[in-house]
Amino acid sequence: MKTRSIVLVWIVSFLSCPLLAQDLTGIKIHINPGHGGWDSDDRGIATPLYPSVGPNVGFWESQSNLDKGLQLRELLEASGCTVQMSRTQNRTQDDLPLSTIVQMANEFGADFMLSIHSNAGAGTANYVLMLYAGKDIGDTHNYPTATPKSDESRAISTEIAKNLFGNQMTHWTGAYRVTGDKTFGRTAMGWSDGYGVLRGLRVPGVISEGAMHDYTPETYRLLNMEYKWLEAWNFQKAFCTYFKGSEIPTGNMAGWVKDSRNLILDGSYTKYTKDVLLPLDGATVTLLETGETYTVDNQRNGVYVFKNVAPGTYHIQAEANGYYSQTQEVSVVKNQITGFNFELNKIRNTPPEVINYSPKVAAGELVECSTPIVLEFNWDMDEESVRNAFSITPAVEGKITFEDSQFRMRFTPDMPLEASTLYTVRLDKSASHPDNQSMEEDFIIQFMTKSRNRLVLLQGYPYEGSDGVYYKDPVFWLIFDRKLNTSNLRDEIKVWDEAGAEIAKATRSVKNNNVPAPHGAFYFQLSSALQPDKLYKVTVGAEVKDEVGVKVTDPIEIHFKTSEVAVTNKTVIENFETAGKYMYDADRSNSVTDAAITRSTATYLFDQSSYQLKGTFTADGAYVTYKMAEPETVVSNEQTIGLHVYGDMSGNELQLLFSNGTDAVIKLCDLNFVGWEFVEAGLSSLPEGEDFTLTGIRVISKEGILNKTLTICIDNMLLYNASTGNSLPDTTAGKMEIYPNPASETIFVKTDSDEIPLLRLYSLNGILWKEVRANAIAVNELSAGTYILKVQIGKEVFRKPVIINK
Amino acid sequence: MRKLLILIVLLGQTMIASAQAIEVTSVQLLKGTEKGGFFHPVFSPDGTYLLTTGENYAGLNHHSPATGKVQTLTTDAGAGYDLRISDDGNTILFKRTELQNNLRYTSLNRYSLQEKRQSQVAKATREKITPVWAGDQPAYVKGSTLVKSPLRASSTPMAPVINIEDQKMVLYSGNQRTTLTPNGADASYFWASVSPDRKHIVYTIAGGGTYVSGIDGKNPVSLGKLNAPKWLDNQWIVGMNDKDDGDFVISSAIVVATIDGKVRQTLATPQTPIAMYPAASADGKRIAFNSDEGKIYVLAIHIQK
Repeated sequence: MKTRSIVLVWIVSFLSCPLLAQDLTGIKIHINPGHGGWDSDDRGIATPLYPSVGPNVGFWESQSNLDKGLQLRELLEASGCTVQMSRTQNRTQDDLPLSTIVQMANEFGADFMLSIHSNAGAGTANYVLMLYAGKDIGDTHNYPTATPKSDESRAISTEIAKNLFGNQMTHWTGAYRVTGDKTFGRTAMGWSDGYGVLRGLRVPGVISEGAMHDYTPETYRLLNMEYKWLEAWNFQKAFCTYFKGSEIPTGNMAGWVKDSRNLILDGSYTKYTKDVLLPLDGATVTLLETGETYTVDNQRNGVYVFKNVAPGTYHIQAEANGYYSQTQEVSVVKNQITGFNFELNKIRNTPPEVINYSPKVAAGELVECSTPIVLEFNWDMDEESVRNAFSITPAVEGKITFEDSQFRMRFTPDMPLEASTLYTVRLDKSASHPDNQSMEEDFIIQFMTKSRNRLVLLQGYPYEGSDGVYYKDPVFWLIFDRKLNTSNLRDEIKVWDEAGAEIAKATRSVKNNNVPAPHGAFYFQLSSALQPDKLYKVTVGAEVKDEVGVKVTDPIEIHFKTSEVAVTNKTVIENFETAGKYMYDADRSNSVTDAAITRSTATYLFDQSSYQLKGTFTADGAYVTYKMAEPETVVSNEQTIGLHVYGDMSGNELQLLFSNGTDAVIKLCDLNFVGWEFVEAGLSSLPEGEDFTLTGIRVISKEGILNKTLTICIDNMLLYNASTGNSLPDTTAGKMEIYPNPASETIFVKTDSDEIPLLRLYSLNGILWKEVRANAIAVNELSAGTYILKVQIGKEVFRKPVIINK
Repeated sequence: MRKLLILIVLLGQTMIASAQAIEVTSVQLLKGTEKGGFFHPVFSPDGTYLLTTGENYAGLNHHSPATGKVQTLTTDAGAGYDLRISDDGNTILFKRTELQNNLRYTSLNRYSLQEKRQSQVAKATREKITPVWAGDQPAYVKGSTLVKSPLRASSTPMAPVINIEDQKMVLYSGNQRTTLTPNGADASYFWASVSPDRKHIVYTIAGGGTYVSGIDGKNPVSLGKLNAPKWLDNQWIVGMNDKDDGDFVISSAIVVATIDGKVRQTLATPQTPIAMYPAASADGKRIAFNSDEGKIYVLAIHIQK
């Protein structure tokens, strides 16, 4: 339509509509713009645009309320209304006592008292709330201060609420609510009797919470003066309706101008529906028939408003640099706000191309199996065409997502990429942007993955099947093959009881990666004691990952049983309460430094103290000996020695030394645990019929991640004639066949499931030796001994002790 | 140095003690108000009864402290706001608000305690009406006009009256109507009244606190924050120091101050943390106030001369 025709149509429609002005002559309105000043109670709202608010900087409810109030006064006075304002400036001294505001409205003899506010909804809610003076219909509570003006207050408040809720520029999270301040105060806030600015009013009144100012898109809109004018206009309209002051003969046009698909990228605040779209600061909107132009402000709201427009048909045109302009025909109706929101399309005038990508590697460089595949474009892309154009060979199942307003595509494999594999990623040139231009040529990258695609749990305590975990104060220490990314460890690694209830960690006990590089670890204790003789499990989630993002992938479960490790019904031959009973024996030690044995009052299980053994091994085959100052305990091969040990997970071997002229050594335990355990050694390997004297303790360095350091404690040593007993649980009974056991070459697993099981073979100290997804596992290369075989079928994990012979 | 500090502390305590010019000799919960719901107390001229109203000024209640009897005189909306009792205590002038076509109208009525009935003095109007007593005859200010009975003249002259009109104070004295704006024409004035000796005015301005000026509006003296001020006698003002958190009142104390602003004293009201809207008896010996829930307390006081 040509401009002359448009103007003609508009003039005809304008002249055909009689303009009878609204009239509020004689009506008296008290306006209380809530709050006052730039103080802590004036609701300064930090946003990405204004991370630090201050006087006249950023959004303040006190200023926003005043802006609305002053504009409302202007509108009302133009309608003949008599207006009183409780404040006209935004200073701390303008924040009047509630009793003063009430008295001003009473003395003024107002027909209505309007307290203008906006609300806070934790950044996620946005709705209109009218708290009128009084109580709800049907509220039978007996208030000492019932409000006689409830009906009038409710009626006007409802008109206001309906008008405000008609705002099509915002997103409402719920319907408007009109409620008595006494009912609301009692039921929602727990107050005794309503709001102070309404108590004592002899005139009808309301606290108008027009929107939620902490819903950030609304915060930005409330920085626009004309947006606030619209709220004032809605107040005026409500007064005209209630006081029968005729309809407002003009209408308004309002809306916003935003990018049709590019998103707001600053901040992670909540944005609903179209509030995610990028407002076009500086866009212009022109009312073609009048030539009036509105320039969108730079407050990230996109708002435009044309005030007091004569009813009729108009054409409005939105323009912005780099965008196609749009023109829209709209009808302006008297006494109404006509809403139209523009979503402008960006001008994309060159073909799309990939301008960056990942993985980007030099020749011969290998790629982590966890590396995502990311393509960045020079334009925001058409999602469907990119999905159709993308391929990866060998084929990988995964998800394609778009970021940065479709400027970036990300392919996330469902499982880690295969190790040591050459991959080819191709984006066919059919990939296009919304202006229907395609790429000029295919985009292809190739890369080779590294040989490792799983994060491996090497060692842990409790280990699978351990049944001597000290129930009162268990210690958890899981050691992996690489340093861990610590961002999600507390959520991904958990302890559960038999009923499926999670046991909370003691937050301050947590230590991350407290092992030598390149290994990683997660160490923690619990916030409360466990129950003795109960089954528990530790779960390691699939999302536990190392520093380069390689994940565990297959969740791990470690089952353990608690016990009371403190044995009190046997003869104590040493309580370690007196210093000097043992000493470091340098003559019978090798390749050790800083060796010491001292009384410890910091870590002990009985009475007041234990002995702490320390040392640093400097070579393979190192050992350290601690001799008794006065050997006196005589034993025979029919007896057993038990000892309470606070382990260090070193994997080193703890031995007992004896002599009767001839030296003898008996292994007490492997130090494959952390925290207190009770260990025991039968002395049957001593020559029969001979008495031996206990002469000392020795620790021998073995292979292991933590084998270079020794830090253990020992408490109450016992001597008795029988073992306390020990056994490993078997949870496979009746559910599968595992054979042969003992085995020397291969162990077979036969299940009823069609799924091929995941088999993991662990040593007794929790080290994962082997993992295969198959129905058999080769064991011929393993040392003889007892192992734990874990069989995972789906999410269920079974375990069985197996013996490997040579 | 330590002795000097002790001396300073002792001197300070002496000064504070000497500043306790008003002594509270007793605090009584007014019988019949135990359940709350009674607000904005007013003493009768001879102090034999008190009037209260609802928090929102609906209705009028008559309290006899001697008997504890409570009578409802009217339930009219707005009846408790800005009422006036005749000097002999027998007649109460009060307003009644009503809705007509969604608009608020106010009429002026009087209630005869002897006859136990009410009658209309002025018809309902959209204009502001302020009741006054022209001697022993009812009168009123309607809009900006003092209206007296054309039929019956008072046997005593009308005392000066302050009325709030367009947020300014207007003094009606004799046949004179004088607009007073001691703190400027832009200030918003309210809670204004003339002292018993007719020499001073106490008033409050929005955001500026309470002042006492001469009857001519000159020489305003700030009393600081002292809301809902009332004359205790010609030298003392009683009011409230109410504090809120923006949502509701969190505390309020009864405060007295001399008209020169030099002495200010908070009266202890241990019965309630929120003591509001005080009223003083004509003899200056009692102060009544309401609690947050609408119980009425009466303080017996002694002013040290």
